[in-house]
Amino acid sequence: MTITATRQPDREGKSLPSVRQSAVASPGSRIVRVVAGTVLALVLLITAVAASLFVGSRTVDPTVVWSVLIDLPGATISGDLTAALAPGGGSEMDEVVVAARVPRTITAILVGAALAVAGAGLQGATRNPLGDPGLLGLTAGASLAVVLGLALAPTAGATGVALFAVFGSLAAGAVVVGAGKLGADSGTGLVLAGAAVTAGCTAVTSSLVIALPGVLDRFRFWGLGTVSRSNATEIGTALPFIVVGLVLVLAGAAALDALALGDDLARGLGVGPVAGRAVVLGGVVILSGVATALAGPIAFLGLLVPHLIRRLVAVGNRVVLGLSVLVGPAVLLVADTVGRVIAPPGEIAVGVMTVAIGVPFLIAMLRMNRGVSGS
Amino acid sequence: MTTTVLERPSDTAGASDIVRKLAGHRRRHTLLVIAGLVLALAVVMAVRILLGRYTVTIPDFLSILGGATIPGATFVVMEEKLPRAILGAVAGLAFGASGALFRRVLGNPLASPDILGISHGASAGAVAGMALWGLRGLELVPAALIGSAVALAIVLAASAGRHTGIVGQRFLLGGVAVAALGAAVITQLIARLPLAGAQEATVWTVGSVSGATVERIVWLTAALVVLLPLSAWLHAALRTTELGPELAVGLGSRPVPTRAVALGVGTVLAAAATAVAGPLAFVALLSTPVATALGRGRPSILASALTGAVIVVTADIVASEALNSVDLPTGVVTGALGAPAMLWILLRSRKVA
Repeated sequence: MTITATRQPDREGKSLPSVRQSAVASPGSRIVRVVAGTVLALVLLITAVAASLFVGSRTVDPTVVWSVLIDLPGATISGDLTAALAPGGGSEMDEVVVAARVPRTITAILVGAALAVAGAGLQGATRNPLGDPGLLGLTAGASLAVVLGLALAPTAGATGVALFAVFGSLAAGAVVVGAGKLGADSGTGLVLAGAAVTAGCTAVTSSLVIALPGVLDRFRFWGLGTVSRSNATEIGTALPFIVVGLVLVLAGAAALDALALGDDLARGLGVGPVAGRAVVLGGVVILSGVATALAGPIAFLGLLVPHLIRRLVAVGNRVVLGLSVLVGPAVLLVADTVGRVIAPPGEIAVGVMTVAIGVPFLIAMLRMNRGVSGS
Repeated sequence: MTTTVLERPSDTAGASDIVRKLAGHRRRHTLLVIAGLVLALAVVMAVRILLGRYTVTIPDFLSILGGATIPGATFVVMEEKLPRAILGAVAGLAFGASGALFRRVLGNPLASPDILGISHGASAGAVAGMALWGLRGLELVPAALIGSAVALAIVLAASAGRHTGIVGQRFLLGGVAVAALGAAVITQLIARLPLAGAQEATVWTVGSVSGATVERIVWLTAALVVLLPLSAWLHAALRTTELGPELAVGLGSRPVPTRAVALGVGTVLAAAATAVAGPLAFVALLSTPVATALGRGRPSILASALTGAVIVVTADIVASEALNSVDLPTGVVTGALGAPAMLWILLRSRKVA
C-alpha cells in the first residue's frame, strides 16, 4: 500500500482516500493511531456494556445489579440459564429487571458487531461510501423471508428463522448488486435500488402480517427493530452464524484493500476481484440476515460506524473492519440505553434510535459531499 | 449568408404553418389521451362499485343513487363501495398531479413525493397528531401538512446550496433518509397507539382508502378544485425550465420563485392525499411516466393526475379481491407492484447511473 502511494501519489491520491492517508501519515504514527483507536474502542465498549446493565427506565440499586451479575455464572454452570434469564426467574422485581437486561445487552453486542461489520464490508466490496444493510434493502429482504417462512412453516424453530433470514438477505442483496451491475452502479443508484427493494419487501411483509394475524402475532411489532425481545435460545442459535459471517468478512478484508486500488490493479496483485468480493458479500449476507432475525430491521448502524472509524482512526479496510467489531456494539448499546431513558415512561426502540442518529449523519455527509459519487 | 437571410421570408409562412399543424396534432392527441383516461377511470370505478365479492346490478345502483333502499345493497354501496371508489380517485388525482409537479421542478424521473419522503413525512405528522395530541379525522390535515413541510425542509437542507439551488442527485439520497426517518417515527408511535387493529395501523404505514368518509372526500375534492388549476398553470409555466436554467431565464421566465411555489403546491397535494388515504407508495412516481408514454413524450399534468386515479382505483380492486378472506390495504398493492417498476425506471435513467 505504501509502495503504491509513493509511486503514484498524485494520480491515485484523489480517488483513493486510503492511499492518500497512508502517504501522509508515516507507518509509525499509523500504528500508534490504530493502537490508540483500539484502546479507545475497548474502553467505550466496556463503558457502554456497564451503562446498558446499570441504567434503565427503572432505577435499580447498583449493589443489586452486582449480586445478580455475580449469580449468573453459577446459574449458567447449573444449566439453568434460560430459567434464570426468563422473566419471573428472580424473586425480587429489581432482580427481574436486571436479569432482563443481560440478554438484551448480549443481543445488542452481537447485532451491533454484525451490522457494523456488514456495513463496512458492503462499503468495501461495492466501493460505495453509502453501504449499509438497511439502506441497501438486505434487512427488508430478511424480514420478508422470515415472515414468509413462518407463514409456510409455522413450526420453524430459531435455526429455521435464521436460515430464512439469511436467504432473504441473499435474495435482496442479489437484486441490489444486480441492479448495480446493470447500470445503477453509483452510490446513489445502489441506495435507490435498495429503497425500491425495501418498499416492495415491506409491502409484501405487511400484507402477510395482515392476512395471517394468528401465525405472525409475534412479528406484529417486529418492524421496530429492538434488542429486548430475544431469549437465550435465539441468541445461542444466532451466535455460530455471526461468528462464521465475521470470519468470512474479515478474511476478505485483505482482498478489499487490494480492490480499493481498482479491479485491474487488484488482479495484478494476485487478488481475484470476483472471488474476494464474493467472500465478503457472502459474510455480509449472513451477518445482515441473522442480525435481522435476532433484532428486526436496524438501519444506519452499518453506515455510521465505519465512517466514524475512518474519520477518527484510519482508513485501511482491515483496520475499519476490525474496529467495527468493537465500535458497532458500543454505539448500538449507547443508542439502546439512551432510548430506554429518553422518553419516560415508555422506551424508544433501538431501531428508531439508530435512524434518528443516522439521518442527520447522512445529511451532513451529503452536505459535505464526502465521497458521494453521482452528486 | 445574405442568400439565406433573403430566402427566409418566403419560407416562414410555410414553416409556421407546419409548426402550427404539428402543435394542433399534439394538442388533439393530448385531448384524446385525457378523454381516454377519463373513460378508463369511469370503467375502473364502475368495476369497483358494481363487481367484486358483492355484485350490484346497474339498475339497482341507479335506484340506490336515486334514494331507494334495497336491504343490504344500499348499505354496501353507500357506506363501502362508492366512498372507497371516489376517495381512491381523488387521492390518485392528487398524488398524480403532485408527482408531475415534482418531476417537472426537479427534472429527474425518480423525483416524486414518495421517493423524497414527503408522503412519509405527512403520514408521520398525522400519526404524531393522533398519538401526541389526540387529533381525529380532518384535524389530522394540518398535522400532515406540517410533517410534509418538515420532510421537504430536510431534503432541501441536504441538497440545496444557498446560491446554486437544488443541484445533482443529492436530493434523492436525502429523500431516502427522510423516508427512513418518517417510517421509524410512524412505527414507534403506532406501537404506542391503542389502535383497533393492525388494519387501522396500516392506513398510516402503507396507505389505504378503506377509511373513506363523506367529509374526507368533500375536503380533498375542495382542495383539488383549488390546487389542480394552480398546479396546471405552474406546470405550464415551468415548461421552459426543461430547456435548462440559463435558457429559461433567457426566455423570460423566473425559474427560482416559480420552482419554489411549484414544490410547495406539490408538497401540499401529496400531504392532503396522505392525510386521508395514507402514503400510497409509488402512485406519484409511476403516474407521470405512464402518462408521458401515453402522450407520446408530451407530459400533461391532467393526464398524470388521471393516471394516478386509475392506478389507485385499480390497486384498490386488486387489494380487496386478491385474497378471499382478507381486505388488504391499497398501499400494499401499489408498493408491491411499484417496486419493480421503480427499479426499471432507475436502470433506464442514465442520469442516476
